[in-house]
Amino acid sequence: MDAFDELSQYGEIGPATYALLLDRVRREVRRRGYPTPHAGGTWTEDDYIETVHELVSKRRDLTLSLLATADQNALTALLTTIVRNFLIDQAKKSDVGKLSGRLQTLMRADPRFVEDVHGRWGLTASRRAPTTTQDSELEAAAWVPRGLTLEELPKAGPTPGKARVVLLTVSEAVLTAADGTVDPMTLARAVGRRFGLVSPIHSELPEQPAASDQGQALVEPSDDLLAVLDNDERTALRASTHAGGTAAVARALGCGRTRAEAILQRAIAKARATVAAQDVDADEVLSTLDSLTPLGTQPNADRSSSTNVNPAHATHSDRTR
Amino acid sequence: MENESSAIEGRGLPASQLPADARRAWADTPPRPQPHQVWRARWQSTATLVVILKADMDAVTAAAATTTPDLADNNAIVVTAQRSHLGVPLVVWDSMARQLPVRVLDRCLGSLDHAWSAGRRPHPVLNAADRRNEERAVVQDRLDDLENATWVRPFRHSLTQLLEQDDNAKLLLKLPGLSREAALSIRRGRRALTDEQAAQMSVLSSIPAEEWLAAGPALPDSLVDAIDQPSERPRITRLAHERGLDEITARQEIAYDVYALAARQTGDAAEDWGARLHHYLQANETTSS
Repeated sequence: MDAFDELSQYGEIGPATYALLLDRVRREVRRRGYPTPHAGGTWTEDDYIETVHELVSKRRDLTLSLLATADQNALTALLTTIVRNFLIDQAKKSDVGKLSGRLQTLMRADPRFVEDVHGRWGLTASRRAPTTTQDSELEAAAWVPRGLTLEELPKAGPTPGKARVVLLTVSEAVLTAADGTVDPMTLARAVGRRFGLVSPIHSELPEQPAASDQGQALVEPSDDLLAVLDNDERTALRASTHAGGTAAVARALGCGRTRAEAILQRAIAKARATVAAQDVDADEVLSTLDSLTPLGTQPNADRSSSTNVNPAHATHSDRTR
Repeated sequence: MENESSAIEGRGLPASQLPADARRAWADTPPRPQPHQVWRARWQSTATLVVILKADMDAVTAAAATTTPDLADNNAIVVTAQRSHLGVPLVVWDSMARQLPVRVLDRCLGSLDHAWSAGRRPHPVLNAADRRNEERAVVQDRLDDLENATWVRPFRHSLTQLLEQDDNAKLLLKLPGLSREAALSIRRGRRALTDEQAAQMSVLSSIPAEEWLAAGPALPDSLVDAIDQPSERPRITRLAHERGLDEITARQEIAYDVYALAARQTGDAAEDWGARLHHYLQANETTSS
């Protein structure tokens, strides 16, 4: 009995699903070399099992998400995405903390921002109640200021002047959308996502099968646009410049037309915010993308040619949804 | 593989994340669709959870449900874990509700608290960079697929008439592997040709395979309705699995088996197709087990 049949029959995670989960963790670790749960040494059987334990314990909606798949292939693809998101999040935990600390230092020195007694941050001119805005809206608000790029931040020490302006501008946009106070980790995640510094919001959308078990990559994204567009967004942009419109984008992504259109529009919005032009269209973005893509890398030719295998530098790019 | 999972369970993992009621509902024979129930809707490679808003004999009005509240927008209601009975919050995309054929309903997870619609409605999406756009788009694509789910072949003309032309009926006897009984059912207009049989007939006759495939006896609506009932789906999918068929082909095969069998037993008398289907599935289940 495979995991899909097991879930369909019993409505719960059983031996076959656990085995598949363990297999996905092993594969993902082999492919991308994540740090062990104890951040040292090599992975042992206990580490794999502990990771599965952690994942199942933290994702209380896991069973329900898995029950909503159509077959074994879809289930495997979804589990691959869930495992990858989880491992990246574990590897990135400290990055969010570091960015949060940096933002708080900057905001304390700027009169536009205010900290309440609970350690939450807001704008001086805004109301002081905790925000009711969702994380996804805060992330989207971070993309509103256009033409901003972030130079590499120093590992320690003060934030360079240009980076300070960029981080505070984006923080202000996020807090404006919040219309209330936000805890510093949430703020850091929203700001960090814009610059590929932290992983995107979890979704139940499975990785497309074509991308699941293919080769690895090869490129360390060094340019702003590459760093902020994920694989789907790049694929959508490239496909959109060929004949066929949304149908061609949907074919390239292996998904439905409405989803393809949403991914394309998101890619254009992110590219606009990054390359600063006011009226960028897909052609312009593509030509910018081509000019930034290092030789030998063709993100559209094969969805497997994902960038960025080193989780220490994990960005949107390796988070196929 | 089982040893591996035992090793994991031995570390104290929760045996199940779903409340016992939901697990029981899932494993039981699917009930008759009713408002407020949560189902897995599934057809070919598309699946989603749905909440039923209105139920009729052959169709339901249903809203898709997802499990990521942070990716919901103002087209949806976020139902709290307390009101969902599933142990986790549920996002019900009520303003995108569709009429879906009951044939897509697969497994039931129980019912929501009837006051679920009093849940929170998130803010609208104002920015194309908002990932909630993609979540809503996925919901829409899935509903599009499910709305059009069908297994009943559309026929343009009568197979009986086509067989009457130029002694085509005699060619049926030359089809390899086709029993006399099955040939007779086709001749009588109680079975359609399969893809393979249509291809063979096109070689033997002057009529292209597409024409043969477009000809057939339409199934009685009440037989189609009986096959589409969610209560029969577990046995149909089990039979499909045993016969190595996809679910659509299995449904067609079962439908024409039942239709042909009825003609042999009772001629054209009025039929209780639900009972006939039930007996057929039971007999085949017994045979195969």
